[in-house]
Amino acid sequence: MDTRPALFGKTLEELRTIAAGLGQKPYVGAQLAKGLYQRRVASFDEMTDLSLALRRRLEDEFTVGLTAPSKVDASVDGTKKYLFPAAGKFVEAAFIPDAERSTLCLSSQVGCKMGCLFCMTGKQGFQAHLSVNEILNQVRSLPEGPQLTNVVYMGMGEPLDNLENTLNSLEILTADWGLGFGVQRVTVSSIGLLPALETFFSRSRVRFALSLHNPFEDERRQLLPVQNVHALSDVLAFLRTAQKTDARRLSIEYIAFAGVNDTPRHVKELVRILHGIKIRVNLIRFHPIPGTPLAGSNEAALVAMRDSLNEKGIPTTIRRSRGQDIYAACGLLSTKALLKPVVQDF
Amino acid sequence: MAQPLRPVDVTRVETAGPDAWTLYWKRDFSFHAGQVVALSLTADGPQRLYSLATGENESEAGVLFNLAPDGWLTPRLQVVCAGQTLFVSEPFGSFVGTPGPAVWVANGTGVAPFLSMVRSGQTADKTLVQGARTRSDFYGQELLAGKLGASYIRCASADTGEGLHAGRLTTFLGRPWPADTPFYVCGSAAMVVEARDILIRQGVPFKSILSEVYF
Repeated sequence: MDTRPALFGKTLEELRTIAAGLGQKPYVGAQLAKGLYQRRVASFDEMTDLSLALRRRLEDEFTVGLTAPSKVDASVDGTKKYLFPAAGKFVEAAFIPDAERSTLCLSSQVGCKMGCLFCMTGKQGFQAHLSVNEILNQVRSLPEGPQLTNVVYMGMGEPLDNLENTLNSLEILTADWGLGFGVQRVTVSSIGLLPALETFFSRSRVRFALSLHNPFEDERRQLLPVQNVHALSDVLAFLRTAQKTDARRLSIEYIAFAGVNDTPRHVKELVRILHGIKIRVNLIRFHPIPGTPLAGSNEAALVAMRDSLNEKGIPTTIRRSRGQDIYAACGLLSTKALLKPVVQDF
Repeated sequence: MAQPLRPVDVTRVETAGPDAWTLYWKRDFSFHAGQVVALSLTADGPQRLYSLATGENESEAGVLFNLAPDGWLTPRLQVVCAGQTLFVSEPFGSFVGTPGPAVWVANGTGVAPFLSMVRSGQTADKTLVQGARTRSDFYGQELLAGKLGASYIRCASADTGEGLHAGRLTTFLGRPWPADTPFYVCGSAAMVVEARDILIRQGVPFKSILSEVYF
């Protein structure tokens, strides 16, 4: 097993520290960043702006740290679902090409701790946080990587539960010295972990999407256990306050479940609780998961919700389903791929 | 937002099991059994949430924790002694008990909110199904057995003997349950998700299952 640390996934500051530790000038850190993130080298030998001696030393003490996907499933609609080895398991990344953009939906954890009723990833339990290297490797080692225009943190895991690694990955993803994605091209989605959300807003400028799924707090906690400790009203109060000084785009993720959260009563309450926040709503069709007690809303209910919300001044769209023939809902593929679930004593 | 914290002095530390302890401090607030507090070692340090494990009317408040060797906080909490200062928030959260019958399901320190409910006198028509590996891992078992009697079920996955139901908690749950019984499930994500799936398969409506995941 290779125990050499990976350099891909290090911030500029960390690369400068490493360079200094090797007796190099600080600008060598910037040269490393340029090679790793802009020139997209796969080996130290390709870093020809470094001396041969330094390249040899880097080879002895570090790896670049790229890991190819171990499996890919392609949908008839062009969506591709990649399985990446990470933390001894697998994580999923979905490449979603569209007319004007190509989006990568990446994972931030193996499994998840949040236990949302509608989520397949949660059925794995929590396995591990992804390192910065493992998060960004999904971008860098994606065969379609150079085509990517957008990145969304909406795959497996709760990004704000892996806060430091998420923030460092965002820094590298959006920095001029890094992978160079504009902050308007990156969205982090979360169920709303409040102290972490505050830190996220103070340290990153990328877009934010709140997984809301039910405007009534008593009903929301039947779907999202986190509601018991991080109340939706507190999360929205934070967003309302943050928006006074923060211009980033905010959106709501709302999976529509038949008879559970798609009625006129829910629309009315959504309008009420979102009052005063400039925010758009994405209505999402539910990809059924095995054993779920939930069913997705029908087209008529989705359209009625969308139209009602738009009439009330909340920009709302219905997200087009992609990759349904390849288990594109996050967690489905990797849960199937887990050879043996970890049996815990309880 | 991060919860505002205030200093409290630890009054005592009680061993609750192998690698598990309850930290107590003088209670000067009111709360509902099942609520949590944010806890930190310093006024502005990293916060973690813990369910209060003590009763609504007891003079002390306390939290139950077990050692997570890779965790940041619990290895430090493990060495806290009486007289030391911790920083805690006001209680908050909505995983609170209701009058009437209910089945409580817990593993690990997930038993804390139910300990609080029992210590607050909420025992009528309640059944607690607690899962653990061995007999010594059932935190609070003496109190729970005394207060709940036959309605206290201990499922031991790696132990047998008097008073223990041999097997995993989730195996025990795979039986018919009255459809109108509310379930309160608290513990690790893996247990909560598996227990919830089993109950739903047994015909319990998902709206009757309230979960709290420790993360």
